[in-house]
Amino acid sequence: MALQAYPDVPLFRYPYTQLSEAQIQAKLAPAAQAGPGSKGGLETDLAGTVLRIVTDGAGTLTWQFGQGNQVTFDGATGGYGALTLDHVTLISHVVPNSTKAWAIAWDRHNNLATVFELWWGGGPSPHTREINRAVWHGYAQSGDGPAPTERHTPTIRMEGRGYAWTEDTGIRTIEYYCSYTYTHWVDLDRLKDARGYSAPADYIQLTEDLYLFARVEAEFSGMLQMYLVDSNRLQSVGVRLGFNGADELEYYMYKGTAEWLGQNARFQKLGDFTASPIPIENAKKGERRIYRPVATMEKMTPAEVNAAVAANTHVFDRPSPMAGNGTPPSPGLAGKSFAVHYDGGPRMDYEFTSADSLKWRRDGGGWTEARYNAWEVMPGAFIFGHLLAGTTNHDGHIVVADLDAGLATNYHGFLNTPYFANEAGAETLFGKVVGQGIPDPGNRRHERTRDLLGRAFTWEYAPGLNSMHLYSTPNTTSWIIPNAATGHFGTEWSGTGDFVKIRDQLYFARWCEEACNGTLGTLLLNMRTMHDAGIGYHCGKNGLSMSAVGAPARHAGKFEVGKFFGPDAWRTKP
Amino acid sequence: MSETLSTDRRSFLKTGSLVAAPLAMAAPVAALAGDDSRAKLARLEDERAIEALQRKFLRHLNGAGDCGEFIASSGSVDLGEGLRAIAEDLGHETELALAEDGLSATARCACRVERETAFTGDTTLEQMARFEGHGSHRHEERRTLATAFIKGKDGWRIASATLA
Repeated sequence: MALQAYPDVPLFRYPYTQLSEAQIQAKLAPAAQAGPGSKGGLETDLAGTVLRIVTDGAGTLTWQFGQGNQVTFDGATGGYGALTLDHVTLISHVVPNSTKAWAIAWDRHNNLATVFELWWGGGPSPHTREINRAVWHGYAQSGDGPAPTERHTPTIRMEGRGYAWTEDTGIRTIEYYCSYTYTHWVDLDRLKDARGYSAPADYIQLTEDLYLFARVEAEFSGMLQMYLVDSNRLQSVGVRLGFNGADELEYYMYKGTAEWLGQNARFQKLGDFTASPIPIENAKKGERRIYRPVATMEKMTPAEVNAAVAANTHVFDRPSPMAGNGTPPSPGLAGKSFAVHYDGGPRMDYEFTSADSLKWRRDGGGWTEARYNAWEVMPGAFIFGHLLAGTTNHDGHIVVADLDAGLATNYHGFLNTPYFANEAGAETLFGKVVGQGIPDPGNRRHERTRDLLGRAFTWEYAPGLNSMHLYSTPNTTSWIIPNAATGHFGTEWSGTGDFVKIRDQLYFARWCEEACNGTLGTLLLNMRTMHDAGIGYHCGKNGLSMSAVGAPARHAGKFEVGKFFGPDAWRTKP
Repeated sequence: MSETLSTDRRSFLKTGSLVAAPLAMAAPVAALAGDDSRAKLARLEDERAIEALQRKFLRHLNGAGDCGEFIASSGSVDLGEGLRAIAEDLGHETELALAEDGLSATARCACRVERETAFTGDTTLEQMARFEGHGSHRHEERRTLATAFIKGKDGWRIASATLA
């Protein structure tokens, strides 16, 4: 694959180059001398200033600003950039002849400062191209007055907010701050397939209305995007630093403006403003919990998948941790017979011989018995699932059938994707239900919907196992995991989503955990009862499973983002 | 036929008046005793023995030791997975039913149960919970401890125990 600065495949499919420290230092050298680029002008009023920042943990750091945009740090002189948002100045520079850089947020009113120490290589990131950061809080020394005791602090105050940012470069980004340690962003211009991605983030409160935010696009380009946010004026100044998919250095500062999109509910106990991440024992400098799912994912060959499926296949035959709070399966399909005619095929005939056993045949072929479970999530509207034993890709059909409307939609799951044999792929099939007493819908079908776009729901699957879904784009489902004890939403990841309206307030959604755990997750969400029933389809070394998903929901909020996505934004690329 | 006594903890310990009426109906025991006061005393002693055994059982479940000495058979106790603590809910009355022959009894006791669930599975949710440092989760449930007792030559033993 030719290198692409901003890939036209999902970022989790793109083979980012493993750059070496030597390559990185060479690429940084011009920027270390020249400083960051910018569309507008950068500030020069620091000339002659000696900025001495006393930090808690990294000692006293001194920057001596010369004429033009020259700065001397630790004996090395190079170029810097600075932009001020109200009374806080953001400064950045790359240290010459090194793979290090610094970014400073300096409050000129009270001299409090936060310093980001930045470096490539040497860990803790396992990828040299991925920027590391350590965050040091402190203050700028001035005169002989007493040292301030206050500090900038990590915060949860930004959690739940969403903004649509536009840089002075013209680049537009939706940023959903769903967690106090992660973010979810949608690059609306450089990436073309309207997907959102999740990344570790720092949220630091400077004043009541000013914040410092930084995301590292870990597991992808490894780029840093850092900006000061004025939450009242909806303005920012920021810096972007790192290597894009073409391994080109991007280093520029910018001013931005935002549209406020809303704020989702937070779920900490009322009065709890704590924001310190869960500590890591014997942590290295800059180490934090960065979810790297492709590294831990079981990766199997087609032969291994076949063997695992033959040895261990489980269809609704054991308790599911994803359905500890689920509703019991419904016997409502037992005794019924009908067919589902999908547009473009296949044609599936069903005889539901009991509450958990059915016979199916495809396109008039032979009958096969299979175990299934069904849930009647709204009267007359069922979700049911079964495996198609003997199919090459170990297919699973997860079907929502509205027997009152004669409509059906199928999230057809399959294995043997081109990437990992045990990773589930999915396609969405629309069709009609044909059977005695079932109305003929004619050409009408279920349709994709944007009713869920921008919405977030919490799911309480089982004691201690909770999650929040954010349907961030027409083709993205993101999930965020809370600390069960405190309600702090932390680690976040995302994958391909699809969303179909079944009835008013009844939606069929899915998510694919691509390059992650390989699971296809589905749910039929009833917003009137605020409960769902769904089915998971997963293959790993422990075999193939189809299992229940079910939880009560809480509606965490809705961001108004529909206008940012064109009519074909649901289309996904493999 | 068996009679159900509904008692709070205090009355359970001072059962004289409460057991009087049921004992009046417990004809076989009374007849065997041939003396109403001796029958009452025997029944009271059974009640106290069962109550003490139930307390001992709860103490052992909470870590005081092996219950084997007073459990009729090892497979007769099923309190679910991950039980970490169990405590009688004193806000509810315990129901005790003593059989007419005085050789078996059942009790239903409201309890607060603490369980620990280990997140050992391969679901993404469990993996991410472990990643965040949560390998397990403790939670409390309000359940009813249903216990059956039998009386043998060595006294009362627990025939079965389940949480409903």
